[in-house]
Amino acid sequence: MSNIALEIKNLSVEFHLRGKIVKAVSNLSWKLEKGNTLGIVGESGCGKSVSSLAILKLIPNPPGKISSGSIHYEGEDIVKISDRQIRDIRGKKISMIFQEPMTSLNPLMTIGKQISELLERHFDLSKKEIQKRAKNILDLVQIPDSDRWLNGYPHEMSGGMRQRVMIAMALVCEPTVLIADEPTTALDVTTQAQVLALLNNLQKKLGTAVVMITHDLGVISETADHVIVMYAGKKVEEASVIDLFKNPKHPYTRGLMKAIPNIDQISKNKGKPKRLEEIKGIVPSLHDLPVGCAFSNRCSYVMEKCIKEDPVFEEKSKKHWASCFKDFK
Amino acid sequence: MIEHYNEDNLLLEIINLKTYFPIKKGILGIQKEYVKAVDDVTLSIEPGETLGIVGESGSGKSTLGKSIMRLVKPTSGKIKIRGKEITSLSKKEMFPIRKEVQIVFQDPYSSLNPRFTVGKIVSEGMRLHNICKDTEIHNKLIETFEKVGLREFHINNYPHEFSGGQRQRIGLARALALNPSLIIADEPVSALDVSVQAQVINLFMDLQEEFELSYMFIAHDLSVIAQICSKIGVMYLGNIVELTDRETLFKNPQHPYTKALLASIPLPNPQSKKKQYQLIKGDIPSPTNPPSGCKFHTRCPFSKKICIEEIPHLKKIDKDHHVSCHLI
Repeated sequence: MSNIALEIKNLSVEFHLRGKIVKAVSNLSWKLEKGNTLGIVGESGCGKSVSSLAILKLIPNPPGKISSGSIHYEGEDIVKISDRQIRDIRGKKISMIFQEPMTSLNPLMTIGKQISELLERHFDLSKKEIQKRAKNILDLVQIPDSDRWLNGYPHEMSGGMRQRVMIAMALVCEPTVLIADEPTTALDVTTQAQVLALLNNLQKKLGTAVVMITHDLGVISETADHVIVMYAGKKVEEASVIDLFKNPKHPYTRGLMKAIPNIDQISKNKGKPKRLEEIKGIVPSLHDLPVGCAFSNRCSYVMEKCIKEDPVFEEKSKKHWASCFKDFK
Repeated sequence: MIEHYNEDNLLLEIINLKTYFPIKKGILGIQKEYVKAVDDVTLSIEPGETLGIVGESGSGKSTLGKSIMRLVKPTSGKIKIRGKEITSLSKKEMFPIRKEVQIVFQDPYSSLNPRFTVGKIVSEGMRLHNICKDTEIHNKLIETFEKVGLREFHINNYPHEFSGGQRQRIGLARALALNPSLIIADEPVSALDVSVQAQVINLFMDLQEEFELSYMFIAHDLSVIAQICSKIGVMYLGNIVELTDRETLFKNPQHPYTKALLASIPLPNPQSKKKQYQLIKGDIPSPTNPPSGCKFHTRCPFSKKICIEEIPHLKKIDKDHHVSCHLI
């Protein structure tokens, strides 16, 4: 049996906007191993969310569409299957947690109803059994007083509790793949730590494979086994989490790591902290990317070659890939 | 409480500041309760100093900033700027003081008037406060723009034409144009991308050096605060629970909440040592009906009987180190 839970091959997603074609994701490939966590890092507009929406065919069409590539799940290509078939997969086999827990829950439905709706859709169970499972999953995500909350509404809950409910809904059908799109960005740090610990425990318990999408390198380092760094719709670096943080091989990844204030260092050094090393410029708009390497206009190692040719994504050292003309040792 | 500072030297002094928001209850709306957003805060900032206020949402850190600017009315307590009390000044009397203390807001999208050109947004304050002659305004404007990394040709553009990071620069230029001595920055980088965040943090640090500015830097992100601030106050449900300099806060945190905050930060290093402090359970309670005694006792792993019964006060445990906890 293969060890791969989900695999994306050469996926491209385009949006047709005002007569222009914008490539939000181009030629993206990755593999997610069973029970593992794949981290996807990038800033706004790098295509990390769009690529995950594409997996569940949630790209609004028009204006968007999957223009090429394939998504392999349990021997099938998700890109090719019908809407009817994907509805059997969504929420049951592959589920998703979104960033904003307030807007992704239905404000007019009780928590219990929202959870049981999923079970009703995907399983043939008695009412009693559904109630029982709904309560169990709330207990599992550590919602105190779960009996009472089954009849509660989202607005009565705090942000952290709502995100727990989102996790409960995502896991109630025991999916094999969970896509978490910035699951803790809207939460306070103490709550974030709780939610990440919870996700980690549940993953171990249920054996779910997780795609963790975030802009926060700290969250990536604490959760992911394998990491992809995206920039302007493309994968620019890929490695195991240890290798990536130990020896980043793309100037963008290196820049990102230096741009975040490092508490470890600040607390060790006395006196005034040094300036942060910044990446100059801003995240480019996908409308007009520079010719050649998309990062060339912000890169501090830019060479003449970089503004003419787009570098190939290649293996730089064992199981560590990057797309850059320069070789970082 | 904080006695070793020479009072004449202080740029900003806050004494027992309370800001409560009334909420009406009951059918007739007579029965009143209060949200105690800022509850008995005492602080000071010396010239050139950067004070960081860190806390989770609902801790009252933004209300504290707005109270100092008198954008919300404090319920009681004193706010002094260069020794002058401003707590009960009228709008007219407050006007010249606004020049001294400026604010930069969190959301760079909603804090700039979309109908004004950027030049007008930045120069409006200069005109109102007669910073310089009308004929010199243009020059001063360009000078300010260059200081924050904007270009001269940006003057006639509108806010929607700028990115988030640039807008934050505009917000900073607007504040800077009045030559303030204190800038209150309320989560100025939390809406920005990581790579742009570093640019804006550096800009804050550079400007401080050039103009000898003081900052009160409000943020939920302890790593951002640590980068910029020499002194840090940790807020929880309207109270300052720990106040000390940067090194002490990281090396020798005393309050259980500070320890929990430090433990919660995900470190960008997969091989880092495991957390040495315990994570805390639950969410921040509602400030309408805060817990009795020490407000943190509901989440504190070390809670004792005294914590439920008595309110702890900020006490000095070392030079420049103040903690409000019964168990220390």
